[in-house]
Amino acid sequence: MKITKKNKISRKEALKTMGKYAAVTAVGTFMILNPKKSHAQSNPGGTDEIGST
Amino acid sequence: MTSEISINNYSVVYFFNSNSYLILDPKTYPYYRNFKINYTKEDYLKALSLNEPQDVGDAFFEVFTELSKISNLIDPYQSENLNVTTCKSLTVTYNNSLISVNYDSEQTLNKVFSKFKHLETQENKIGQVLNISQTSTGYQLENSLGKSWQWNHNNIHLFQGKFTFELLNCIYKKTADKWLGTFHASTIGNGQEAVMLVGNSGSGKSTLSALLMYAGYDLIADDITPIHGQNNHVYVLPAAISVKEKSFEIIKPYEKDFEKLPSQYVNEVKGFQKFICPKPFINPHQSHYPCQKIVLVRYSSNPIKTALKDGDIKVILEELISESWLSHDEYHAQSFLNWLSSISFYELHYHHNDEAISVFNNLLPI
Repeated sequence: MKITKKNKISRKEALKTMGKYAAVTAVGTFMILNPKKSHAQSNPGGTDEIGST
Repeated sequence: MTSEISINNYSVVYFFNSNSYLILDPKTYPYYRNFKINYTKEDYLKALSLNEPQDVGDAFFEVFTELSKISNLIDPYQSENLNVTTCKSLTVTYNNSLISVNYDSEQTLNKVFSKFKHLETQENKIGQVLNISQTSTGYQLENSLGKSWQWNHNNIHLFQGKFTFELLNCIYKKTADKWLGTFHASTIGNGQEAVMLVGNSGSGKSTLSALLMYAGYDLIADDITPIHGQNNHVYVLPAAISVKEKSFEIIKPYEKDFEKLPSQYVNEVKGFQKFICPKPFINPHQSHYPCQKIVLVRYSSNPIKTALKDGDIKVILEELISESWLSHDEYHAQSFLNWLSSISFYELHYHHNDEAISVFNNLLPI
């Protein structure tokens, strides 16, 4: 079972159950996917330095 | 409240209250099948009647219960009563729509408008209006309906994404609640149908999309692909493709006067970028297309044999759902699941661009 950062339950309350979450992912594929709350363009890395030549 | 579909061996379950999608395989699905929202833990463990340790049942119960709770899903950047101050204006036209973009400085405009510059018109009739400005702490945007948002400087990609979405609404004269989602994907078409390219940042999807455009395909959307909630069609997002510095040499032979195109500095990792305008479409008056194929793009910097194989559903859905905005609407969520169940998923591993284009020629004949 591949465990990625997306396997984490992102919501605050759910984080409390991370111990439980490891137990469910041990059984088989169990992925929770949360869409983004905001529209986003590709994030170039979070910096904000756009100049031009 | 949940909805579910099956894709190959996997089940995809949607939890409305938390706007979450759960991917299960045949080993974990029985744990969900026996869950009901009004169950106590004892009810659930009894219903499971599996010879499993109780702590596993406990864990599933708690996670399902968590997903069933109502979450705050409001865009955290929406703000009331912003006074977006502007002093300059330009007009954009597409799809017989006129949009006035009012802004406070060229610097603010350049953050969001470089990829739409080719849509600028000298007409100065009043159409729909978008106001953008910059403050000491970040950026602000206001639409014609008086809705406004603000972001700090670190969230410039959200400012850019929202501006693109609001411009899309203006272009197609739609409101935000009509869209099924905006996907982190590029999409190409052959005039009749579309294929979506997904992959994480740096996977090569924008460069490949540009090369496919030069090979004769329509570039329907780059980076952000909108799907409408009524017909599940992808809509043309008439933005220029952002080509990063590492791909300049690949694109240069195909784009006339490439050297003369202005370049913008992005950051240390990406270097500079140039914007390539979309080429004329095969059917210039068609603005939306059905999409039944998704390709996960995996460019390898080392020479490898080009291969198109069945896509790993888990990996593709992770990329498709987690990196996209999806409507929190029961009808749209069901439409999305129905659409997903009709999709053919592929994975393309390549190094040689011409071989990748040949793969698309078979997948989506022009």
